[in-house]
Amino acid sequence: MLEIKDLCVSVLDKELLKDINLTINEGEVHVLMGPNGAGKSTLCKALLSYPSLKKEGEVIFLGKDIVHLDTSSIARLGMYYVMQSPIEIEGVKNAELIRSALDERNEGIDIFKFTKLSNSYCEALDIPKNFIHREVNVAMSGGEKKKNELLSMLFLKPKLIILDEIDSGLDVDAIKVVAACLNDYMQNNSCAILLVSHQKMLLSLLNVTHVHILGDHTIKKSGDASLINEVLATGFRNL
Amino acid sequence: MVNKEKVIEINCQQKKIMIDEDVFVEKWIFPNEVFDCNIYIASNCFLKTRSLLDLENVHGNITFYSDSFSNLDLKWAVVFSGKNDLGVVNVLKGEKIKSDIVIHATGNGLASIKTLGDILKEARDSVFKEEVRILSLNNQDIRCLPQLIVKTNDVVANHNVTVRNFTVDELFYMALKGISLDSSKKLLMDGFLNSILIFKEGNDEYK
Repeated sequence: MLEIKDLCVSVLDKELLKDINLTINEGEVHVLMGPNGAGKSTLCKALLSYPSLKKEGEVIFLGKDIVHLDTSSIARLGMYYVMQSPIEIEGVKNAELIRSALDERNEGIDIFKFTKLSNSYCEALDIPKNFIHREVNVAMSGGEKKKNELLSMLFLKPKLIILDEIDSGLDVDAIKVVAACLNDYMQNNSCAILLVSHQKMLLSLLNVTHVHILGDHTIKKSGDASLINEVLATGFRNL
Repeated sequence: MVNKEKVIEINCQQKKIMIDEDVFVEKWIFPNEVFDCNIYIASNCFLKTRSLLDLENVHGNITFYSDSFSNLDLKWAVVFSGKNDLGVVNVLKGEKIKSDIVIHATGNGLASIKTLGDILKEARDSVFKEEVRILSLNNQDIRCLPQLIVKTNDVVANHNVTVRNFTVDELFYMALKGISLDSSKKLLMDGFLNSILIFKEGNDEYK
């Protein structure tokens, strides 16, 4: 599904990431770990062509080289990114945003179907049904913002979900809800997840298949889910 | 919710308008020629408005004179086209007045907005807030000159003006949903205007 070959990322000639190689297949859950400032969020943003980041190398997504593709085209191909701190968009309601996004994909749906889907997604995420009519992330707690981003995700049906610290701001119950939502989505769709997280509870609730440790601007170590316990027990310095 | 106020429209061609009961101004009419409209809000009355104004070649001043215990709650979302020169003045001439003026402006024309809060000596225990936000697009020139004159110590008064364009993060966020640049800008501009007009949950406001 996603193949990253020798990816280097820089900003204003300053190298942020170098020689990143990573392959993610359908059905897999990859976890990206690393110390603060290692470049985890930069990698996520670079995959989606954040404007100021310069990329070299290859990023093949669903058979297409997307390294020089713009953000909205990559998103329409099926990549979905939940930011660490989703921004607030005043005056734009969730429903407007999602319907516009569906229209851009030529997947517009009538209001009755939209409402029905919205109600069921809100129920799955344990949020009030009126969330769909609220302004995008405005006056929401950190946890509500994350759930709100997942609400859009359920409508847009992405193939690759990139979640940057989705656990931050979520309480214990909310983590269970989010994990259940992601597991259910994985079960019913051909997709994969790339997750930035160090939250033991969330990681234990997901079926993690691969773990990558980012440090010194590159992937230093990869392994299976057992690497999570190693990291949590000994930290990054001893790896 | 039930509207208890009288719903009216104001034609700015009139030189003097008396507000002696609680009103919600549903519609503002701006004349083609230069105007100077003076609106007097009597004691214990309020004037409230939430309006989307499409202004083209408008030249004139609106002056609100607020009396004791009155309340001015004005929220305008303005789209300018052509060449405009608009003045919004609020004179607080009594005690315990509340005045809250918020203007969000954008468009593709030229505009000069002059705002003045004139808080007289009699306006003790009053609260005055004035906020002008301008979304400046590439092909426009909107300027704002804010002024605040306070002649008493016993008030809370503030005014601010911000001018900005779309931010990189806003456009990136919209693009993450697969929305094209043109559609993103349109949505964000609508949002900028709507944000002061739409009903806020838990807030007793008009849609």
